[in-house]
Amino acid sequence: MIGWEFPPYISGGLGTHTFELTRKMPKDVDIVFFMPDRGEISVPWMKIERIRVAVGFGPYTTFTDSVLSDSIIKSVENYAKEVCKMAKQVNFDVVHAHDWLTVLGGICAKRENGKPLVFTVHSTEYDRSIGNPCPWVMDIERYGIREADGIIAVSKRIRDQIIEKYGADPNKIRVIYNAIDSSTFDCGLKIKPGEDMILSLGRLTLHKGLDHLLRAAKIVVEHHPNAKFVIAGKGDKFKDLLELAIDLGIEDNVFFLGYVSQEDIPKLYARADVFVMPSVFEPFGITALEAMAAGTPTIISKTSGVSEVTTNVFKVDFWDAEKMASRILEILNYKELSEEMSNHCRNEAKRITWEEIANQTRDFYKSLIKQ
Amino acid sequence: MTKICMYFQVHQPFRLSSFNYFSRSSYYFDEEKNKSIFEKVSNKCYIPTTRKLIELIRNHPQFKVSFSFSGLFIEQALKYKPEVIDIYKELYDTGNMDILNETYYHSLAYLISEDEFKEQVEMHRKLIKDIFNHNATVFRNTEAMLSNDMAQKVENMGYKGIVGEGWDKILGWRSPNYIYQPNGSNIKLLLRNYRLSDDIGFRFSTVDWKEYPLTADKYASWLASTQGQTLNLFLDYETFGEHQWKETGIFDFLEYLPKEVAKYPHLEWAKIGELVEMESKDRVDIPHILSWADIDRDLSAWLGNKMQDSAFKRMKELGSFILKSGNQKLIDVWRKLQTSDHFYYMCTKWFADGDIHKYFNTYVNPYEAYSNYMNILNNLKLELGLSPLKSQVI
Repeated sequence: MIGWEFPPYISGGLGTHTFELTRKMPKDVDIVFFMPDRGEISVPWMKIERIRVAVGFGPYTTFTDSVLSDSIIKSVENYAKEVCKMAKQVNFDVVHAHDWLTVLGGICAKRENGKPLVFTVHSTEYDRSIGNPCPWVMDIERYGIREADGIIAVSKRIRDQIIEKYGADPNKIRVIYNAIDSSTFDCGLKIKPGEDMILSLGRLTLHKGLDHLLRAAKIVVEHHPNAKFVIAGKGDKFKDLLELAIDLGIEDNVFFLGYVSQEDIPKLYARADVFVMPSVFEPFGITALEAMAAGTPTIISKTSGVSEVTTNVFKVDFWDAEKMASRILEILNYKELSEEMSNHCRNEAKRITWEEIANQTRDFYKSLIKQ
Repeated sequence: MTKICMYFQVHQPFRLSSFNYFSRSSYYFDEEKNKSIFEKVSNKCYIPTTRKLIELIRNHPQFKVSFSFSGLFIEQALKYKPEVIDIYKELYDTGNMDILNETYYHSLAYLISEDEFKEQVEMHRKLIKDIFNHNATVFRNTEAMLSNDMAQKVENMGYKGIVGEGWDKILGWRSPNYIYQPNGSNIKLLLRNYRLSDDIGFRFSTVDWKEYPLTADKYASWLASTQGQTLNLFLDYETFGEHQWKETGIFDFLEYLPKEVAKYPHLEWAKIGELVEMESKDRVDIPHILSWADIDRDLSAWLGNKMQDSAFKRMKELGSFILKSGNQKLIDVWRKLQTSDHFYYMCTKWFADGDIHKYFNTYVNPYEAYSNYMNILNNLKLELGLSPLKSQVI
């Protein structure tokens, strides 16, 4: 398996995904995991091979001006070359790559060794850039989608998109969702001091739709002056969002926490009265599952992969600030609603496990080996 | 002789408009949706099935049926599709159709107060008298709710029979195919044979059921080999054409049933009112309210989770304010909010209970149903000059 980031060296969902997927993979699957060298790392369930390449950016970097520096291009290419070299020394049955950063190595290894390539598409350049994609990145994605023997899409939305925008062969694609380790987030109880807290967590980027949440916040605060909106995460839209909060006159009700450590995140979920994921686009949206596991009533945008697998949540259109505000106020004011949602969303999140996802992935490998 | 009594329940709720937290409106009901659903079900079920029944009675004069219509169904029929009522009148005029009474609003009024319950039964009695010139002798409470106390009250209101679920827990070793009386009153209990009824209502088109496909001759042979005074087949009318689509062959089944039953001389069709003349075999104790729903046969499809209880309590609290206001429009709205369906939509049991709840639900999930209901109650409170959100102390 070719990865890019891995705990503790992570910036987003890709690291968590490969960590949990490999950890919960059935024991009849032996994994050798490649990743760029970011420091000392080892786990008991598989061998990790560190590849020496310079990496100064994450899988979620957006190249807004469509200009890639030579060093980025070089490190992706070098990584692929080095992975391919090392893969020759491994006797494997399937090579599994994740997203554009790693797929070039996967294609090379497939060719050199004549084994099937599985390509998981966690997100696409088309989405990350909101319709203004970097052609070089999109080309790599298209290349990976064409060369892969099997494609894993993390939601039906992603599946439909790679068919429509990347010309993927529908027969090669299987939808396998993300999951969570609910025990990490379920503190068993809600912490509830005086004020009502609405939480959102994620990178402060355009596609996370936080500007829509702020517009909803304006309406909420008019009816519920005690409401405090807590936005955790950092990103290139911080300044814009802060200015928007000020323009809306709700700066006293909105708090930007910036980066929050992994160990503090469960506490935030447990404290929050409502969790909102207002994303314009969200390939999956694992934070919604985490909030649900903590028993926090959750509002998600309909344009998220996680909305395909959850029922005990409110689903709204990200642009419908009034509806979003209404849902927030309903949860804050209708105690019985919040209690029932809390119980049922916690139970629902518990049923969405990495074991299941790993089993599905293993079965997908097997189906490709047979062919 | 063994009687066979087929009784059909016919009901359509007034589905609520979509209210968000801020909505202020006097249009509580979704006219467009109610109209389109009514027209759809009329075309798939009410009209073709009733026509079929008229034809069957003409060809088999011994065939008889019984109906209970909610007042809300009749109200919508008159508004959206009056020909549906005309066809039912034609069926009634055959003389082979009986009609029951129930609460006008297909409501949980019994759980609100005796006065409210009686008022809504009286409204229904008048309605059935007006439309069909019929005096009902048998009563059916919403969702076949039944208990000793309820039976006694219904008897005091002049009814001779009351419908209930032939549930094993109240019957013990006894069969549902006999006439019983509840503890504390002499009204006759007409108990549904849920196995035979659900064979048609639920299992008819279940391909992996070992009896699939269910044919009229096979079913008639089951009826013929079942012992008892009466076999009560109580069904949701929408079984025909709506729950079981035309393509499943449900209409053919209905078509051949009277003919197949006629092959057994000891079987005889009966109107539900005829059953109350039969002798009671025993007394049955029903201390807690029984219903015909789900695997639990209790009230837990409508009340029991926090949202359902809170919505019901808040609605009930409004009663004295609403009635005191004397505002007929608001009283009508309040009563339409008592309809059992609204509470059914808030049920969270359906993960365990399967698809039947999902099928009926007009909301994405129970939380949306509850929020909408609460938003509407708050709007209603504002119309009454009360403060929303706060619990009203009576």
